[in-house]
Amino acid sequence: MINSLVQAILLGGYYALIACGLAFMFQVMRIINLAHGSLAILSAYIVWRITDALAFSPFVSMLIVLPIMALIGWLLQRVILERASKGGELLPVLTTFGLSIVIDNLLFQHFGANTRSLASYVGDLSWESYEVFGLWIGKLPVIILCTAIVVIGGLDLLLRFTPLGRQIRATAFDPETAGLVGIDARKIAGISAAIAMMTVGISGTALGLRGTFDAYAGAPQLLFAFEATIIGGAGSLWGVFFGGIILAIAQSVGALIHPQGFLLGGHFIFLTFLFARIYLNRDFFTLRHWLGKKTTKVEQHEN
Amino acid sequence: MKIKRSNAYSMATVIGASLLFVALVSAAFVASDNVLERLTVLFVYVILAAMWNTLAGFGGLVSIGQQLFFGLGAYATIRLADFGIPPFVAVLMAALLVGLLSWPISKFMLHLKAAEFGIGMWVLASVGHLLVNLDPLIQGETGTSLISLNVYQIETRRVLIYLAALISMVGLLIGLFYLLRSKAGIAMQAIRDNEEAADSIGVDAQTVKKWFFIFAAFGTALAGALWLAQASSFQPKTYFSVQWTAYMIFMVLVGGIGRFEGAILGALLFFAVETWFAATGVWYLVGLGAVAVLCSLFLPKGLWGAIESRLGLRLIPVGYQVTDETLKSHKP
Amino acid sequence: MLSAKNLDVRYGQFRAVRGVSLEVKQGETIALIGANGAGKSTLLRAIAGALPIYSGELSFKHKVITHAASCDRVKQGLSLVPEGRRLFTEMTIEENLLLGKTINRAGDWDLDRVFDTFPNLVKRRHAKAGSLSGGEQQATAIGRALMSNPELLILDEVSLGLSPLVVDQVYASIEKLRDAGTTIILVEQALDRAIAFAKRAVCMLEGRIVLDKLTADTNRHEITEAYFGLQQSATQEAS
Repeated sequence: MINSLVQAILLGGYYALIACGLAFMFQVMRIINLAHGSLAILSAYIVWRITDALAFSPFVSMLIVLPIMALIGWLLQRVILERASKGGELLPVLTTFGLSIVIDNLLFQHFGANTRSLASYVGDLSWESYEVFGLWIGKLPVIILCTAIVVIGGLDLLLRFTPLGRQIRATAFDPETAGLVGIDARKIAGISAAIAMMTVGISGTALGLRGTFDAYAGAPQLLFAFEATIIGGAGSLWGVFFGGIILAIAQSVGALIHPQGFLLGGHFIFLTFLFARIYLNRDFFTLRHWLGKKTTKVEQHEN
Repeated sequence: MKIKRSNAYSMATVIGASLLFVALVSAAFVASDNVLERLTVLFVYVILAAMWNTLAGFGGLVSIGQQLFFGLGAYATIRLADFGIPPFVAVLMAALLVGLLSWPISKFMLHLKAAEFGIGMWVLASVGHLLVNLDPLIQGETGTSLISLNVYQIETRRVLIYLAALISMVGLLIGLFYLLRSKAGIAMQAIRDNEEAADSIGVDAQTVKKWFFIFAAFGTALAGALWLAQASSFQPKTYFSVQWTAYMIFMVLVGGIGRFEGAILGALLFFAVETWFAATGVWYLVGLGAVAVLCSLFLPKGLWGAIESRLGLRLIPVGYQVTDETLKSHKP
Repeated sequence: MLSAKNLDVRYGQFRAVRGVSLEVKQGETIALIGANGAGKSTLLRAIAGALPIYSGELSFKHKVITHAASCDRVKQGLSLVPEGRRLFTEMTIEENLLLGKTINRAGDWDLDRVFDTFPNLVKRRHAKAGSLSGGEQQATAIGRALMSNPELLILDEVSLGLSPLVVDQVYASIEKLRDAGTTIILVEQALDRAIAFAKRAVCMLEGRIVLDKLTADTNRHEITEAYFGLQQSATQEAS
């Protein structure tokens, strides 16, 4: 029982890692990137390819992949999202979904149907464990959980205390006025997308280290990231961190109840939080809480 | 300035559509097996495209989870048939039941906006898939078949399914036509064209969206049930696949989102593309995704929108037409 | 310094600014006057790049900036204090001011000098901008614009919503700027104050400039007539 809880929290670390990029982009650009999961798989494949071809450690390969992902993020913003977001809030949904289909199938075309894993490239690390109070805790999941804390903490510090973070917050809060004080909103959006994609690169590597992946594994990763974000309230990155852990715990509980209940448990906790947000009107579950007064037209219609 | 709701083209359209319908009905008794089966597929595609268009193009709701209703429609048919209900009755009842189920879902999901709604529906589709897997009748991912169809001879069965699909498609299109021509439907189109107009029209957009949502759920479920009748086997993974929504999005984006004719054109194109290129396997799917992205970025009104604005052609007048050109060029 | 030729700015089909031409010379102070909806804010926002210019040409320091992004205009030395202040309310005063420094133009405006100029901000330095009084907010907004060391400072509705005492304080500080040679365009509803502050008065009516004179050459009566559109049509055509 305690063991499953500990394992769930460790799994939650991965969910937090994959969700924080999605939430970051949502906060800063108000776009939910439906290609998020597919891009994580893409980065996992690139890490795998580099590791396999050059016999690097996956961690070294990841460092090579991060700038590639940053570039992909920047291009994604410049080529697709910038144009799409001018056409209203529905267009980014359609374009990023279309993009995910393209990425998934290109990956399938190139890498085939076999599942891959990075676990075999890290030697003993993939199964080494710490023994704490009679519990066996895998080293790798602990590393991933710590990475999630470092990444989210880093993003949080960046947003709070650096000039770049200030500019990102200002652009998210009021892009027009941000322009009037001299902030280049296009540049900020490009940088934000690049940062988000770097976290995607890290989480793709984490996914590959934890288990296996295949070309079509992007969709579930997107759903996990989305669920963790919503459970966490989409408001703060630390909220997303706990969202990831709650999601993982719910999945473990689901699996205890029924052999096929793992995913259902996660979905139900997600729907419960959604229900709470909609009907209990808990303000801290909303984006508004974090971004201030901004209300959108849709919300006004509902009132 | 004059406002009218029909034109010379629309009269021609009505006559043309009626003739086409008669031709398609008679085809049931003369066409080859293969042609009937392919046409049945086409009819299902038209339904799927029209239903997703109802939701996204007219209701402003982009759902990535319409496979929920597609899968549930098929599942409910299996379930009802297992209770001993004749298969074609089961198809219709299944769609009605799913339509009914979509009402509480709409209550809940319509609170969400844009991408949240889209992915939220996707999660629901996954929930539906997992729950259906739990039904012992389905035997998990192994699936099952609609055995009760075996009471018909294979030729009779083919003709019956063909006719059922044809009638469903025509019925849904006519239903959609009147839904869009209703006061609420007109209002929704006005809102789509100009959001600021929403308040002044005095129509509760949420209520209208709810009806669009339920109608789309019903139609998509009917498509799923018909697909089951045609394919006769049911594997949850196939029916609850997000690929169905991807197809819908492709058809609507290419054909012309928010255009009644656009969805039909998109379905025809998709049908043609599938017939010719499906053999290329994965590249065909890459192409579909890429074309959808390009269309949404560079051809936001789709092919039909381009045809419409180029030629001023409108075959099926679901909206209002202001014949003064200066007003038509109004762009907020 | 700033030259607008035949500017048209539209909201949809509505022409909020119609064929406005305006020359602003280095060191000038201009009061932009007009009733609500006359197009003043629209004109200023278009000049600052927050609204697209439909037609016409805008240049600043002999460079055409008609379609430049607003951040590039700040880089050139053009800064707007928008109507309603538009502070980043979730951030502190200091953070708001530092954002003004995003474009680090050469000049002597920095945090210290802003706090010297608006001493009332010092003790609230780490307070959220949303919690400030109207006067403090206006001071922060002006300070934020000054942080970019602008050569042309545009102030939209400087005194709106402020108590007379605070208005005096705000004016005292922008008079210092004026006397230091900063070019200023401001929108002010209180006519007397506008005339007393600015060397030149520009009056707008229904999107057009209907009066453009040195304040020394005009009087309250003439401006009021222009404000309400009571002038002879000859004046309108002339402008």
